[in-house]
Amino acid sequence: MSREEELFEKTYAAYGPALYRFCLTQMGAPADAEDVLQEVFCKRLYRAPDFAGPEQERRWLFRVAANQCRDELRRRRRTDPLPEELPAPGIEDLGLWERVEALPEKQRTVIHLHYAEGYSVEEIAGLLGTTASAVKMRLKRGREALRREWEAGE
Amino acid sequence: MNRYARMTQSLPIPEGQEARLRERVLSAGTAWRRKAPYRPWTLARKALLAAAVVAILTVSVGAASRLMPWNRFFLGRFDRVDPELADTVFQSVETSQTCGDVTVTVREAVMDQRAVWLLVDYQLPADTDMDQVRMNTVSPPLFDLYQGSVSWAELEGLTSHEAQNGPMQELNNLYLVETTSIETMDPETRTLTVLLYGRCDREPASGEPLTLFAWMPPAVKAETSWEPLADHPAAVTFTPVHTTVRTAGTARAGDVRYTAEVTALTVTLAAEADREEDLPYGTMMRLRAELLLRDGTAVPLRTVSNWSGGDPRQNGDTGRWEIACFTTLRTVLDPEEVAAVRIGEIGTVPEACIALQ
Repeated sequence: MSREEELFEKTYAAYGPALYRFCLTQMGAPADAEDVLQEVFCKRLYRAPDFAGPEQERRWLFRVAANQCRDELRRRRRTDPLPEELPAPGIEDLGLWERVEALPEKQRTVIHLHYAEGYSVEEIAGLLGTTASAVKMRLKRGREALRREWEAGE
Repeated sequence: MNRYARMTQSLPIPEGQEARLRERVLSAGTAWRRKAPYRPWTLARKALLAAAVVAILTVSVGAASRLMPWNRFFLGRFDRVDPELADTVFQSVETSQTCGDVTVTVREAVMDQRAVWLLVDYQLPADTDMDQVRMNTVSPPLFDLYQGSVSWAELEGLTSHEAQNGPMQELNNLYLVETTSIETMDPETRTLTVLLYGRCDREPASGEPLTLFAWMPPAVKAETSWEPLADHPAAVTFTPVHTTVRTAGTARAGDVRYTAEVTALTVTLAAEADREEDLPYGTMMRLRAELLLRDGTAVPLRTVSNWSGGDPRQNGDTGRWEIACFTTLRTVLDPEEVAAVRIGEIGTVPEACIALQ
């Protein structure tokens, strides 16, 4: 097994599913999420700096994924209609996924990183290159939007 | 929100994703890998293809960007480039620094020891009136690029002038930033994506950190003046990795002594003579120069480079007159594939062939 195959296996095992779920939240369609994921892994295998530890590597991967998704969404906003293909959630979660996915990009990004990936507000700020107060505001607005949507739907 | 966490953890990963990704990522490695020995296209063939490819690129930017390691914003600055050669100058940097209420991120770099392209995100303060920014002309932040590192703590509270004459003066200002352009503006994240180009006359030490210093914040055009969108400078330090391969040579042509240097992204031609009137015109050096490749083909420099020129100046030490012509390439070269530079006859200066080593 080559060094690159080993690195791919190690990276995918450690971060692949989490990165895929993050990309899926951003892109909406599994095929699009996988396309972005391919770019992220290519950058990891062939272009990444040396990492001091796994947490630094994880933060770098999520930052690259966030930037890659953002570029791809901007490009599509100009040319393509919104994707209609969505993953099938369990029946008990019907509605929640669509509501998070429908949030503005910056809100769904911090909601996912905070609640699904467990990053603190400060960590997200560092990862996205913004301030902790901006992250807190996005979390607050995202939660409020979800609550409003939820109450309106019930 | 715990339900959201549980739900995402149970989201199904598409069947066979790992194997599929492994195959796609590993097979893309040929295009991504640095210093690949395989050279499927000669420079001459690439130059011949360039004109046709420009037309193709305009209708297939998406497809082309998948082949190249770098962001689509670089596509307009380069003609067709062999992805393997592009790999030798590309770096995914992804380094951010929050400086008070703004954040500067160096995302990608295309650089060698003489030239640098940087893709940079500049996130504006949270209280920015984005409607005003969207509806008016915006001037990009103005950058300088220094060798060495500086932290935000050292700059915090300083004006641009104080920073330039304080902490930044300790660093080595090697680069001349020539162009800065705003590529996109995202009102949602208040982010300006900026592409800048700089060149370096002296060779920077490889592996040393570089600091991108935004000494002038972006500004929006008001009725009679420009209003700055931040009230302080900002800086981010990153460590570049770039190829250091270069070839150079000298040759005599009548009363003129030519020198040539070839790097992956630049070709520099210079001439010196005892009298100013003996020097060739700087622009003519570029127009009459050809790159002679090891496979025997000749590529006119003007077909693979942007315009550049210089003015004659007298060397204070030697008293001799000099003129230099620094050209930025619209392609990426393997300098070791270029055997020589031939400069045709210019006025009274005869043709010369400068062998490179």
